[in-house]
Amino acid sequence: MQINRNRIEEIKKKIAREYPEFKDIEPRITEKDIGPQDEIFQKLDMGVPKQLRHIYRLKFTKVVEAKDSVSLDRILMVTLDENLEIIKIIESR
Amino acid sequence: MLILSGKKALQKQIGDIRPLEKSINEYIKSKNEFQALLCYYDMPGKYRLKRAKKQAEAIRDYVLQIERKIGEIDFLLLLGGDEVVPFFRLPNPCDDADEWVLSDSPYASRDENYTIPERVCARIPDGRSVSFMTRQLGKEKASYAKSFGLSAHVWLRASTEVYRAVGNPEDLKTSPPITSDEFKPGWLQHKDFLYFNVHGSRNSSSWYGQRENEYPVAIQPANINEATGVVASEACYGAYIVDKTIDDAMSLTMLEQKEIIGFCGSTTIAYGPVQPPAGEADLLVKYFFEYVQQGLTLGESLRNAKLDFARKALRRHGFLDDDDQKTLLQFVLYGDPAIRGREGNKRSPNAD
Repeated sequence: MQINRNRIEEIKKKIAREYPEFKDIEPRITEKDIGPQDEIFQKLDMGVPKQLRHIYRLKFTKVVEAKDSVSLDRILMVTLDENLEIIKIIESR
Repeated sequence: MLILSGKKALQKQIGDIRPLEKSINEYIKSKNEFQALLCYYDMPGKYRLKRAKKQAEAIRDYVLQIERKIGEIDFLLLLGGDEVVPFFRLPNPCDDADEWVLSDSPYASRDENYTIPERVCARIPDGRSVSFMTRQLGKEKASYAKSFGLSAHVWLRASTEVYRAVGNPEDLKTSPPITSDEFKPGWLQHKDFLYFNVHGSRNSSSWYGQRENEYPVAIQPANINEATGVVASEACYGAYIVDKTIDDAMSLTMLEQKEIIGFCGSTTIAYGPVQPPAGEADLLVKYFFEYVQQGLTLGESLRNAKLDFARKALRRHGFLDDDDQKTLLQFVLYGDPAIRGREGNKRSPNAD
């Protein structure tokens, strides 16, 4: 499934509602294939089925100024799976 | 345990290293439960290895060569900061402002898959002071049965899930309203665990809170006096020490305290969720605290936390994504890796 404008707008609305500091910021959108991470599974003695995954990333960024005038990079990333479902939303610390 | 440093670079940083060598010898003699040895990668040693240059890859190769001589090293303690035992500059998996991920993870790995550690690795930064370094080797843990936690206001729910591992969530403080002006040094005294989930910057020694678009200074080095316990910070650059002095890096200021026994933090931009379930830095620190609580050494606690973190991410999504990988690479431990935050499990670190 390809990400489309409607889905992007839905996510932007969600971010504006739940993370108002990132309202009106246009996200940078990337996509990526993630191949089977065989070596990692082996190193952890895990036998999870191998599969190719495809994820989308919407990255919202801004620079803010702290009380003492230090600049802080603020990043919010939304990760979607192949079905365009949100896997996770994380923020820079 | 292998204690590793570069003699010339160390001398350049702290001057006369004899007091440090004396402390290391006393440390080695005091450890009846495991063997430890000191090696300089730039000096001829008893294993007749070719000296290594002051480059991360070369120093890692040196460790692997020692392993081939004496068997597997479970604990590796690096003595000195970036100018003595350089951090690895790894490609940044995330699309953010960090050019590299400064990391000690390759020192903890025997193969090229650096995200998954096989041995404990910790570092005692030099702080450009011999007394700072010797102090780290003689620390002992007192028990207070109390913890302190400080979270940016916006991350209270996420922080609560982490802090629950070591303290009463109702005691967790938030910034705002807490700012460095009102911060009481006594809050950090007589504690077993100090937890921080706040903002940080490479260009500032302060850590910051947040509520909506308000970013107050939550804590700064001047707020630290006689702090105690094990510190874990999720702040971006919380463990960034390149070209920093004791007074302008929170991590070093913390370690300067007589009863701070270890500092776990991130060298670069770190990530976490706004709300549970815990992920990224939140999850790693939560696991770290849980292992320390169980009585494992600080070094084992971070290594195990990374293993559990990777397993959890793989079970959740089937893969380690960019920020999972960055989290695994960027978190480092400063201090004696063989010290315990709590009495309990007494399994010993092995020299071989």
